Amino acid sequence: MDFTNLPFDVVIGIVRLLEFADIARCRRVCASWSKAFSHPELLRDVLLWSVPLAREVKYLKKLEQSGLRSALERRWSEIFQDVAPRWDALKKARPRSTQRISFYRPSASNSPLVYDVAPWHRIDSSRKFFPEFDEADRQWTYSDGFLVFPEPTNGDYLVLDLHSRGILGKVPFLRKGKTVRRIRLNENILAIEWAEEQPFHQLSPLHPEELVHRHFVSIFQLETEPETEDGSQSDSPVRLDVQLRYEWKLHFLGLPLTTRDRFFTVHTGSYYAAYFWQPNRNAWGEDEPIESLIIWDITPAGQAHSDSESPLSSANVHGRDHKDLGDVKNSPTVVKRLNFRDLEFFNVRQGNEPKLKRLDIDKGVIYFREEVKTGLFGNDVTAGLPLHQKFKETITALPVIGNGPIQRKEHDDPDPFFQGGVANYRLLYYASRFRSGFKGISLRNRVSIFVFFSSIRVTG
Amino acid sequence: MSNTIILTSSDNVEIPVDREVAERSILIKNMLEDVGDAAANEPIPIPNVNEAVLKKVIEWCVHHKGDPPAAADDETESRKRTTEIDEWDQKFMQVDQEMLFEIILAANYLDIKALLDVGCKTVANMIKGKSPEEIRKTFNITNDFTPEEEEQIRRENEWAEE
Repeated sequence: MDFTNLPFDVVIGIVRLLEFADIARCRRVCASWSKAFSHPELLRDVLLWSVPLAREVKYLKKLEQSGLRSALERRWSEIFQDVAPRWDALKKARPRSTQRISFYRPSASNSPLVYDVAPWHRIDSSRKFFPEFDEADRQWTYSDGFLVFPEPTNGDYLVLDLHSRGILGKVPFLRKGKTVRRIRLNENILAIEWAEEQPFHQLSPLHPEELVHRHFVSIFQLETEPETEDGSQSDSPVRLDVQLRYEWKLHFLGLPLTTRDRFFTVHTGSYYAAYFWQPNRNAWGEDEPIESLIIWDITPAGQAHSDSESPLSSANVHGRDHKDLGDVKNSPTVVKRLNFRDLEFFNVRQGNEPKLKRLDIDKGVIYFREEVKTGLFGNDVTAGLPLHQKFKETITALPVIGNGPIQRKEHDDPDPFFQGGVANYRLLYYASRFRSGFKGISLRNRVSIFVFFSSIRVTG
Repeated sequence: MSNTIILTSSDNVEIPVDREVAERSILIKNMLEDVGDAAANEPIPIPNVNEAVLKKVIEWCVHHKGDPPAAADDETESRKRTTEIDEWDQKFMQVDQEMLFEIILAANYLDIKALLDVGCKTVANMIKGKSPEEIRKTFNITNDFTPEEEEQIRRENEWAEE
C-alpha cells in the first residue's frame, strides 16, 4: 500500500493541505511520486483551490468554460511551474530575484548636478535623537512596475520595465545646465523638479552669499501598450512612449540651493501640488518662515485654459536666454493657492517647528499628515520624560477645488509605514522589511530591485 | 426501532454497534434509511473493510459520538490548510502505515468526512516541510531515479529548496 495507490479524491484531500514547495519536493522522492505530483488534473485542482485569483489561473479557467478542458490539461502543469515559485516567494516575503543597477552620481566638475531637497528632522532634545520625518529623496523612482533611474555615465533618465527587466527608453530630458532636485513617478506621470545651474539673482542685499536659482518642474507622461489578456509574461518588454506634457516655473522668485529652503511635492495623474517652506530673511531674523501651497491641474485637457488663474504663465520660462531648455510648454492651470495666512486659517501652518511629514493628494482632496509629539498628561512635552511621550498623527483634508468642507482626524500611534514622509516613495513603503538593505545598497550608488513587487502586480 | 445494528466485515466477522455510532458513516446512514426499520436487524455487509480496520473505525466513531455535525462544506476553515489534529485523534492515528492508509480508505468508502480529514492531515503532516530524503524514509520508498533524472528533476524544482 502506497500513497500513490490512494483514490484520486483522497490524494486531492491530502495535497490541498500541502504547500506548493511540498509538492515540488515530493516530485523528487521517486519515479511514481514524481508522476503523481506532476499530474495535470491534480495541479489543476490545487491551483484552483489555493490561488483561484492568480491571473493565469483565472484566465485558464475562463478558457475551460469554452469547452476545451482536455486540450488545456498540459497548460495547468505549465502555469504551475510559473505560479508556484512566485507564490512561494510571496508567502515567505522573500524576493524571487534581486537585480542590481548602478546609477549616476555626479563626479566630474562638468557633469550634471544633483541637489536633493533636504528632509525635515524631528527634533527630540530629550532623547538627543533626530529622526528624519522623511527619507532623503532618491535619484531614482519606482511606481507600478516601472523604475526610472539616471544611467551611470551621463545621467540620462532611463525607464526600466521590472516585469521583463528590459530598458524601455529614455526620458526626453536634457540634464545639461540643470540641477535636479527631485524625481518622482506616480500613475505613469513622471515629475522631474530641477533648478537652473546658474543663479538667476541675489536673494537680498543683506545676504549676498545666497543666490537664487529658478526652479522648474517637467511633467512627462509614460504611455504603455495595454497588458496582454492572458497575463503571460512575455519576454520582450512592453512598448513605451515618454512624452513631455508640461514644463513650468515652480516658484515665482526661485529658491536658493540650501538645505533650509525646502519644498515638498506630490502628484497624481491629475494634480501636482507643491508646498514651499522658506526661512524668513528679515533683518532681525525674528519673523515666521514663509509658507505656501500651490496645486496645479496637470491633465492634458487642462492645456485648453492655460491662461486662467495662473500668474505664472506670464512669468514662464520664456524669459531670458533659455535656449538650452529645449521643448518648453505652458504651465498648467493653478487650481488652488494658499499663502501662509490661509495655511494658518486651516491650521496646517508649520512655522518654525515643522511637523508635516507627508502630503497626499487624491481625486479631489489634499491631505496634510502631521506628526505631533504629546505628553502623557496632555500636550506639554517640555517636562515629560521620554517614557511619557507619545506620537499623535493629525490628518487635515482640504478639497482641491473650493474651500470646504475640511476634515481633521487625529489618531495615536502613527502608521510606521508612513514614517518616511513627503517624498512618497511607494517602493520604500512596500520594502519596509528590506529597509536596512536598501540603505546599505544606496550607499554604494546602487539600487536593488526586488522583483517580488512586480509579482504582486501579476497575482493581484 | 432497535438501537444496535450488526456490521459484517470483509472477513465475515459480525460486529454489533450502536446505531447512532454507525450513522457517523453517511453510507450506513443512507443504507439504513433506504431499507427501513424492518430490515434494520439484518447484518449489514461492509465488503471493503476487514475486522481490524472496522473495529478501529468504530472506536473512532464511539469517541466522536457527541461531536456536533460538521458544518456543511466550511470552505473558509479548510482553506486555511490547517493540519492541527486534536490530541486524542493524534494518538488514535499512531498506527503502522498500512493501517493508516486502510483507515483512510475505509473512511472514504464509508463516507465519514471527519475521520477522512484526520487521516489526510496525518499524511500531510508526514510530508510537510520534509526533504525528499526524509519523505523516502517516512514512507519507506527507494529512490529509483537515475543520477541524470534526479539532477534534472532537482533543477526543475530547485525553488522549493530551503
